[in-house]
Amino acid sequence: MYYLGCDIGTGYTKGVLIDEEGKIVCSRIIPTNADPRNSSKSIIDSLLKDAAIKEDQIKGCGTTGWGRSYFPLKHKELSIINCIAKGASFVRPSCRTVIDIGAQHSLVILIDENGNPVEFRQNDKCAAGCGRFIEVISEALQVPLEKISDFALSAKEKVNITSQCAVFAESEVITYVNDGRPVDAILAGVIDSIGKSLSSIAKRLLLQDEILVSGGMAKNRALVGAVEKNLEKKLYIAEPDPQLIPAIGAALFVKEGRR
Amino acid sequence: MIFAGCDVGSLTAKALLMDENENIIAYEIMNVLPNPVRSAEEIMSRTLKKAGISMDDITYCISTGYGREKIPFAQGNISEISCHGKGAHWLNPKIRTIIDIGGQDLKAIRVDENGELVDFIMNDKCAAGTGRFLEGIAKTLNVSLDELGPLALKGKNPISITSQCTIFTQFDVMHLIVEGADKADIAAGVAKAMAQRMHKLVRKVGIKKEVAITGGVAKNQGVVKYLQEIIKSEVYQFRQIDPQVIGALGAALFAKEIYMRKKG
Repeated sequence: MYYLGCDIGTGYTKGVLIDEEGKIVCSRIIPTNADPRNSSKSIIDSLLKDAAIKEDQIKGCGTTGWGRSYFPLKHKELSIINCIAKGASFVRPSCRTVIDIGAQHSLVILIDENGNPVEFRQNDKCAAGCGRFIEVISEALQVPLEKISDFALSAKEKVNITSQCAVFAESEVITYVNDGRPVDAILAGVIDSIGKSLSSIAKRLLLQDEILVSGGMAKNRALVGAVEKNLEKKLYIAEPDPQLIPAIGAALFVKEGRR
Repeated sequence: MIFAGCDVGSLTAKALLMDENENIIAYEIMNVLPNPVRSAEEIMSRTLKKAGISMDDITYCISTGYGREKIPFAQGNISEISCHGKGAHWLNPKIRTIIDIGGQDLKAIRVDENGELVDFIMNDKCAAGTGRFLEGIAKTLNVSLDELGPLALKGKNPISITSQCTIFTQFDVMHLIVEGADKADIAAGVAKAMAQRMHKLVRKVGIKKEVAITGGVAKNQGVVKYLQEIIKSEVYQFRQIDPQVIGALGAALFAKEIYMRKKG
């Protein structure tokens, strides 16, 4: 029998299937496109196909994230904070802090040795310090999202982005382009700015080693580096895929609940 | 004699010309060019052309707006807050409170019976409540900025908008569209959210009657409707002139005042 965890975020919908041993059988990540009903349905179909199983072989589904109530099958809705903490301690039992950077939130959670959240700080009110900020800039500069990190890391200089607001930063970026500043220098400045916003949230807590980073933005090495520099701490990128951590947590919760 | 006001904002540039009797001769509005100096030169040359005169005919010029310090042909510059106060008060001497919504800022300005600045408050850190907010939403709704106001007036059941961030609201709107919500009700909800945001700011300087609205967003009748509802007062709109040029108007009035004072 299998357990399905689905994290329906504002940016992406993530699904994992785990077996009775807690082993990850397969996983999928697709854009939500503001349509959580459709994206979660696609996730279910793809996971069933990848694992070559039927729907009745799924013993339970756990959902989390912004669109968690739109999941079409019978499911248990779980808090994103609990799911991140659970998933993080499962993939890296030695971690005591998780920094999760999603499209429209950034979360810093302190967890105990059993993977329970102890304390957290979050920003879900403003795009500064969230993935959406990079998305806005990536569109303005017409640099694909996956290339942003390499561009920023190759920069010899960096511009100073003074606006916190993503909308105003976009105008600032366009001004720099018009002034003839190189794109990599602009991106290095943008990454620096997001790194600072994120670090200021993290600094509101007494961070405990080891620190794990999860969420889609954890795949941006330049950003992780900027946060490391600001916090003067080593960060570990969650494996096997930082974007799947909450979905893994959700699947584990339903598995334990059913036992 | 010709007095000129030139207002270079973050999104649009405005210029206005008047004679010594304070008759408005001409004004123009355009989207800014990448460089504020070029924007100022271009908007002034368009306005001069409309009036059928040349740069040499200008007796005195005051610049305002975010690019005001860089305008080469202006003899001086004055903050847009004072200029908006001045312009609004000249148009209607009963005005005591002005809500000005620019492309990238939101201001509440209090003036006295002489049009002098008493107090002001400004948000220029976050796009919520500014012209950029409406611009973003119009883009997501796939309507032009001009269509957004009439669309909002058509919405009978404004949908509550919970996010404050422009970027997050754009996502909420995308999701509402996917869920089949009525576009007019979304536009009404956005106008209401905007009005609430404006109210939050203006009440910090005190709402003293009469209240006027200026800037580009003043053209959105949906926002004006909800603002009147929320502050429980009539909001004066300057129908005799484009609400976007009131800063430039104030600057031209200052130009005349300063010139006359210098002349003795």
